[in-house]
Amino acid sequence: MDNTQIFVIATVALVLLTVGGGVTMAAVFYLFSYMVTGGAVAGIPADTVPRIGVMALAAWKKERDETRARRARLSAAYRSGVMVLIWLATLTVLEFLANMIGVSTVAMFIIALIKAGIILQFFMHISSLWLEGGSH
Amino acid sequence: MSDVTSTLADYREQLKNNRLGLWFFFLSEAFLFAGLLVVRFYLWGNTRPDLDQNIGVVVTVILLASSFTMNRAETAMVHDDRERFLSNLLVTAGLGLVFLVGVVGFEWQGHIRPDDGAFGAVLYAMTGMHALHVLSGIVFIIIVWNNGRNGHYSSDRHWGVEACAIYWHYVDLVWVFFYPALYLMGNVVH
Repeated sequence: MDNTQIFVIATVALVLLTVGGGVTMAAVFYLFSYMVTGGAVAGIPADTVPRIGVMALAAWKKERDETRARRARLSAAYRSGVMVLIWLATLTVLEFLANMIGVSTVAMFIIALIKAGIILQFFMHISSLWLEGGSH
Repeated sequence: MSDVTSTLADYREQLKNNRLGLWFFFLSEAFLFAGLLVVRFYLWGNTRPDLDQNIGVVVTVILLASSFTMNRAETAMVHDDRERFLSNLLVTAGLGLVFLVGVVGFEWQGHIRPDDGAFGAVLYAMTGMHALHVLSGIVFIIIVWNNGRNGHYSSDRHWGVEACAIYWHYVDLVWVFFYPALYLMGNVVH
């Protein structure tokens, strides 16, 4: 098997992994993030409505909704980090396996570029340079 | 806090300049690391020394994991989760130390020495320069951890945390290219 065939096989494997593995990854990701965040979204305990006046009740509901929204944002942020880790780990394993079957330097470099792009966008928030907003 | 950054609006305006400055710094650093990569491909070509693959993949995974914990620390700070912020920072520094031990304590004890021709020179220059950045990143993390412990950051004002996190991810980013260049690309000849 020459380098071109190996390169084609690796490319097809990469595409299959990306498309076909997406659903599996999503399921694994959901379970993993659920464990990591302790079910911050799904696990919100049922609130007990206090017996108070109408105004106070409205204020309580507003505060409850804000707390839920805050928890949801935090959970989503942590989940995003888990997702990035899974992708980086998968690409690293792919890189390692590609080396074992003798994939070309160009293919290795492409995998490294994909990893770099993920880190730049999701960990280093490079888009915050040109997007408005104080924090990310 | 000085008068220049006394209001949140001023602080956010300052933040844009800070970010731009940091990225310019990364750009200048990129020339250094890209230069080392060019040297590797010029001197080694399509060959590489026989390095321990296990060490390579283990330290790579450790560095990736440290980027993950650093991201969690920053996310925790953004959402005012101080306890998780501090603990994740410490874990990140710990993983960085393990990475250093893996490279300096194990890889550098292999059969290739710094005076071992082009292979030794390039290997030690690349891993040494990267290890130096990891070390400075750990020092940075410890400073930020200490500041965080003393309540210097909030969800609105945490540029120090953001800069530290981005610097750490940058160190990881460099290794993303160094790892295949040193351990995977080319045929083993030495």
